[in-house]
Amino acid sequence: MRPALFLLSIIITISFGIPVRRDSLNNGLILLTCEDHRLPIVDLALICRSGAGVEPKEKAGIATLCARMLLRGTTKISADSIATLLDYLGARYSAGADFDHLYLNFRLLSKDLSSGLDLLADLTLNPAFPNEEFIRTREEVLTAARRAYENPGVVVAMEFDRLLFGNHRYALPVSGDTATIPDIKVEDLRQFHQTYLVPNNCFVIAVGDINPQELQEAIYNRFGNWRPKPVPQPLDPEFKLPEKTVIKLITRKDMNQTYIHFGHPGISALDSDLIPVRLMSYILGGPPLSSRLGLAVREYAGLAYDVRCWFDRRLLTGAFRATVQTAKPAEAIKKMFIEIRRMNEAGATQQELFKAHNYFTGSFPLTYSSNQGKLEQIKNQELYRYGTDWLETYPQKVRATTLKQVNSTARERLKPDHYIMVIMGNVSKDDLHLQNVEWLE
Amino acid sequence: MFNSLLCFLIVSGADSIESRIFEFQLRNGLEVIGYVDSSAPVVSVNIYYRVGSYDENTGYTGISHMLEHMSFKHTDIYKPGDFDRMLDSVGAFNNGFTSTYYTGYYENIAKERWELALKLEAARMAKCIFPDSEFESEHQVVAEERRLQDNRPTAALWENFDAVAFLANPQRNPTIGWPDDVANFTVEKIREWYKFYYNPANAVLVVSGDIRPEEVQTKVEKYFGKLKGAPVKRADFYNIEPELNGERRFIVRKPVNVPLLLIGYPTPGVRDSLYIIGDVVASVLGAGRNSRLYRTLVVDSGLATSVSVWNSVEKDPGLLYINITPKSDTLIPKIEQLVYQQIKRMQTEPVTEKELNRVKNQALAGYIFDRDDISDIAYYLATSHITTGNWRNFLEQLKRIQSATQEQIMSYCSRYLTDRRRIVGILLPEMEEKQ
Repeated sequence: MRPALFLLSIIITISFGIPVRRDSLNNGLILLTCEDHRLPIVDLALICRSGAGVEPKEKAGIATLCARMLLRGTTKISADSIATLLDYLGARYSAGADFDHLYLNFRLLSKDLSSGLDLLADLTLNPAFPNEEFIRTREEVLTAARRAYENPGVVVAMEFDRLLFGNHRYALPVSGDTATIPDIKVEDLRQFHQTYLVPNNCFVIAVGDINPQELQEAIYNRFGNWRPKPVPQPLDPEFKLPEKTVIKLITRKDMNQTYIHFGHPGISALDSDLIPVRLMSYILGGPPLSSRLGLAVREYAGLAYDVRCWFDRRLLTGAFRATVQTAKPAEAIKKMFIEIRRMNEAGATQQELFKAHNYFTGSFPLTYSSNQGKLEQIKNQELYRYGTDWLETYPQKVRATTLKQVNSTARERLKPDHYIMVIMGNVSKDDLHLQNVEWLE
Repeated sequence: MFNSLLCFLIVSGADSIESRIFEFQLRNGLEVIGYVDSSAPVVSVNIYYRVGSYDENTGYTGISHMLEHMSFKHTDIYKPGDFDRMLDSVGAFNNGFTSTYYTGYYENIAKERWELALKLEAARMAKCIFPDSEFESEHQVVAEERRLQDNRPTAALWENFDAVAFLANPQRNPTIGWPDDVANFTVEKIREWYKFYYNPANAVLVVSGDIRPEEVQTKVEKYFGKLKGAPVKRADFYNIEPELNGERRFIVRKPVNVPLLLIGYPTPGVRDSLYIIGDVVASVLGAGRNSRLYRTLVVDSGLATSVSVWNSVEKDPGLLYINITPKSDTLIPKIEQLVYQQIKRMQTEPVTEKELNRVKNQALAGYIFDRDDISDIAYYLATSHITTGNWRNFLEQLKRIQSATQEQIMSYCSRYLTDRRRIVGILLPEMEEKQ
């Protein structure tokens, strides 16, 4: 008799009766499967619960490089052979990292699932990190980091992160920075792989034309001998809220528009206020044509094409951010300050909350009408450990969020007098007419 | 094993795309295409007008895009902001976009609400009004959107590239318009443009998702049936571009850290039976690690960090673009030399069976993958219908790729990818001004 392959099996049902099955392998690896047989395709992902957020700041970029190097050779096959096989299968594939996770994604025809699983297991378990490929991949990532400095929107965001997050890893971009990438060695990648790519820190998602029972066995056969081990956890950033708004001005005489990025510490994706905070920030600065910021800055005053605000969704505490690009920065900043303060002090209205409820619940089915949409939602549910009923109960949780809760988060989570702000453009301090602020050199 | 082809049967059986599509036309000329996929209770409503930057003369560049912005504002019964408020309140995703050949609008929306999208789109088609008072603020919004382009160095290279590549074809104009034209839009121009181009006879409506054909017919008739159609005789510049008889080369200087090399060749439009071979050539040259240019420039020589190649042809003759990130600007001459050597090889030696089958497999699998999303399918059907005259050409393209031969590729490269038909644009850092 075959031993039990999985310790635990749970079937959860999401809103339209589409079953998502969650199984745990003895070594801690989670398998999430969602059947959809309308097309002969499968979307497959291996997700590691550790991403750039766990790497040392001085070597920022390790997780991104590690992910990309998974496609560049194993102890069994070369990078060329991997590419040849995936090309032959007609597969689409990608590998990368975010602050909270590292991923390998395959999209395959279902007849090729077995070959895809073989490859997924080999890439995950046996990367060779060949030095020549590493040097080339590091150069690619470094070039992209250098190019990022050419985009004013990215520059103000990076400068904001440096000022807000200080010594924490969140201070630098996910893929690292021009100062950190050159210092990364292939040994750093091996260590990251050995430390974090372990079964108790990973999960596999398969959506599409699959048989969950067969897949369970296929995963067991390929990942069953993978050894678990304890995984270090990242530390939360430490913030010192400025006593008054601080501003860094970057003068660029060649620009005909000013880029502005400001905010303050936000929340963690695990925060119990996540839903009320998201509803509040949607009302304040969600859709550029109908949010409060959008109406004040774009629709009524014509000051910008895009204006918005949001709270980062990250495992550790992220930022609250507001952004705009405009030829009239003083007017735009003034209107944004007014709207954020108004939300902070007076909160949203019942009518605004009613519309936000409708938007969140009404748009929810659209986000998982495709295989890739389902995969993304399943990934977030598992990654942030929202619980197996998250997808099923999310609309009810949104509807149950009261105006009192939303306005409480507006009061507590918005800090109108304590912004960190970065401004870049052909503009001087005097042009901006800002009172009671501190200018950073 | 790698030389075999995927089975073609999976797209031509009972569950083929064709079996899920229906079409009809209203008496006023509105063409309607439906795609049935009931796997999720959502619907994508897409309406495309036959107007874009292709139709804009000097002085009017960007006007289709400006009209797209204004069309979200005010109709006989809806006030500014109503479109978004109503759609947001039911959780719909909606947007508009302007391209060379078309202006499109879409709403992805829950099945039980999709009639709202039709209602709003019918209002947009026939009932927009453009008060002077609302024009100025939106004009400034579009001016800010134009400035976003100005401050992105790579965008400057692209804009210059098309203007250098096309002497006469309107593809030379940016969709957003030239800055001076954008600054000089008037509300009268908007009204004129709207009156001429927005009507049922100049539009294609594509509805995809959890729908029934009879339901679509009834609802479309209800909202669009009474609107008056006025066919637009669109200018045709298919043959206007003079032959390129010598390389064109230019440099753009901006505050950049990394140079960019862009090479282009004029390639045939959709009326040429070989036009889809350009897609095959682009894949052989630049799709993935095993492509010729990626191998040569990134893997073997290490002169560049990225390569991408694509054939940009929707209707008129377009361009095959080769986009390269060199490791440094001093390497550009060597990189160009290697690129031209590889192109020469494409002209004189047949591509291998393995390479050809790789491209065919990727095209076939991609065709199935793209059906995953009902809004993607709607986009392909609508754009194919607008640019080629028939949505079936979307399916025909796949068949042509599957039947592409080594001889066709050699012939195509020999004819179109020649030294005297080349455009080269280079993005370099600013130079220090000499005193």
